[in-house]
Amino acid sequence: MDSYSRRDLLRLGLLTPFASRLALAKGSRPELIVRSSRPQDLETPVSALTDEFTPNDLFFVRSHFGPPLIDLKEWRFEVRGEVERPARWTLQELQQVGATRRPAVLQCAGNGRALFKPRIAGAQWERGAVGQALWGGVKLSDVLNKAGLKPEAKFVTFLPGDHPMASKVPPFRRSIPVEKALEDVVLAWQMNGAALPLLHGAPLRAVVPGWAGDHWIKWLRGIEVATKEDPGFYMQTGYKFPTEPIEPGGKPKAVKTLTEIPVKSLIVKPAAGARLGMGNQRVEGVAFGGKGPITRVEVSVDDGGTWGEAQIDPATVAGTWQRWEFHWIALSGSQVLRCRATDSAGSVQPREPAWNPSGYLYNAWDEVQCEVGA
Amino acid sequence: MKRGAWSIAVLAVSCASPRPTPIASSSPDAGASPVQPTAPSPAIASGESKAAPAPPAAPVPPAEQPPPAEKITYEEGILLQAEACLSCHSMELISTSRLGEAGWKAEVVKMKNWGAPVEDGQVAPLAFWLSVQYSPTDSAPPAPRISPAKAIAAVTPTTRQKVRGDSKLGATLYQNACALCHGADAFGLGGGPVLVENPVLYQPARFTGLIRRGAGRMPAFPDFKPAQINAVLSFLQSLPGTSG
Repeated sequence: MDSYSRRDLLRLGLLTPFASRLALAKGSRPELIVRSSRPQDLETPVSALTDEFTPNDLFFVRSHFGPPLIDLKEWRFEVRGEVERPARWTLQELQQVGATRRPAVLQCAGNGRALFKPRIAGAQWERGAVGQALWGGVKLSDVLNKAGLKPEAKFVTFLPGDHPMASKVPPFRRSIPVEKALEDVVLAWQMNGAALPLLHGAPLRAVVPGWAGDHWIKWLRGIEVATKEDPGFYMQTGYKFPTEPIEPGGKPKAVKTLTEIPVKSLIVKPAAGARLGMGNQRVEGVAFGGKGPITRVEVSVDDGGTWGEAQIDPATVAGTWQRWEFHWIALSGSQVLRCRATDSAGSVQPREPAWNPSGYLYNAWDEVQCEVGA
Repeated sequence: MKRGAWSIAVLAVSCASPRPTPIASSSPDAGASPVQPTAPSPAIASGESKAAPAPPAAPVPPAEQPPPAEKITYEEGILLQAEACLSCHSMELISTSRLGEAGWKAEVVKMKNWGAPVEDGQVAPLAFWLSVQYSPTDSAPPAPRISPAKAIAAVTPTTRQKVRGDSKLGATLYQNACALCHGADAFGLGGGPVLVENPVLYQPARFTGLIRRGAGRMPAFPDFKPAQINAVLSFLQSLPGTSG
């Protein structure tokens, strides 16, 4: 995908966040939900996901270890391993390799973990460990072409800059196949037009469109091109998903590395617990993930007995979300709205999530309860 | 079934009369269980203390008991949790993870393998204690909230200037006063957090406060003079980060 023109950016609604920031400045800012205060794991209230791009300060934060405050005078981006021309670039040198802007949804692999039954260890994310930003940086393909991939290169391992809290704790390294690295991955130093914030990986993070957040390594210090994926814990043991569905609480016979996020939609408005008037109401949300663009979003107010079709924005580029809205004639009483999305490959957001031992990739129907008065 | 009955008894006690958790008090072990300089705002700290209601006394197990290895008093559990879990994790993460005994045991074993200070004989008792305190049948406390501004401030430097200090003196002071918990190379030991490239190194007022007054489980060093604090800070600022 090539760089965006101004028209593209306008079409994508880049200006929306600024407008809404102004609006929000007049009222009170939403607060983030603390899943862990040390290091900070902070969830975005889903009702704040109303814009094409999620404001940086409301964007969910996931940290394996604390953020390192990296001295850019000392920092070098290292390219090592199976390349013809290993490199150690300053940020300015890296920025001269190329520049691009790329919208993409970032969703934590564990978003929704708290909703699985039985419960699963790990940060207890509910619905809001997800957001979309316009990421500015350099295409990883440009970096790899500049360094020259050797024929035996098969994987790219991201070298993180955060420090495990003890010597026996493994570093948070993740590898992606070279094919994905060359396809659409960006090394980003900008987020929604601003310098990448420290909580989001300054000075540099990986942007891996369509894939879960565990690949989007923050505080990058380099990449290692290799014949094999990283041998460490977070590649060989962590972030695995059963190859076949299992019973909740069960043990999988075989697991695979998780990569793409499955088809999913969320109800952004009304907010959970909202009090609404009877009659015409607009239900809004986002839909993303899956193989190919979202082709349908449906809403039900009778626990999936019947579904009404929502209007969805046209698809733009892979790995972005599509906003949708649904015209609802609300009847009085306590109402539960549910939504489900379908992608172009025909995958449908399921009623029941695919339980797995680490609580990854939750994508059951989203639901929001609200009170409709006379 | 007997164990289940005990769990309910413990939970009943635990819900009955909250009191301040001993984690923040100056226990005799405080010197070995230091601060988390990245512990952010008072808002979060209060969230943590709310998340840890504590009963007034150890649960008294009924006559027919779980095996001896699994006995642990409430206070012992609190101390063990502080040593084994809270050095690296915040209370919210633990108190919201509503797992059964097997689930907690798997977590404790994983963390022990990664250096958490848990003896072999403590694994089962701690796992059982956690499964009682944070039972899957009991709902988790509501998650605290934080304003975006406070979340950002917790990691934002107040200066990017390096301090002027005697880093050689700082290295000596560090080895004597800090290395036991934070590691000789300041990359942590599982007891105290990593200090290399820690944002607190560029928040000098907060850094000074942490040393002179302590925080959480870190003891206070009230006798440190400004020149000595600057020396330690200068030494820590000189340590380079590396890629993991």
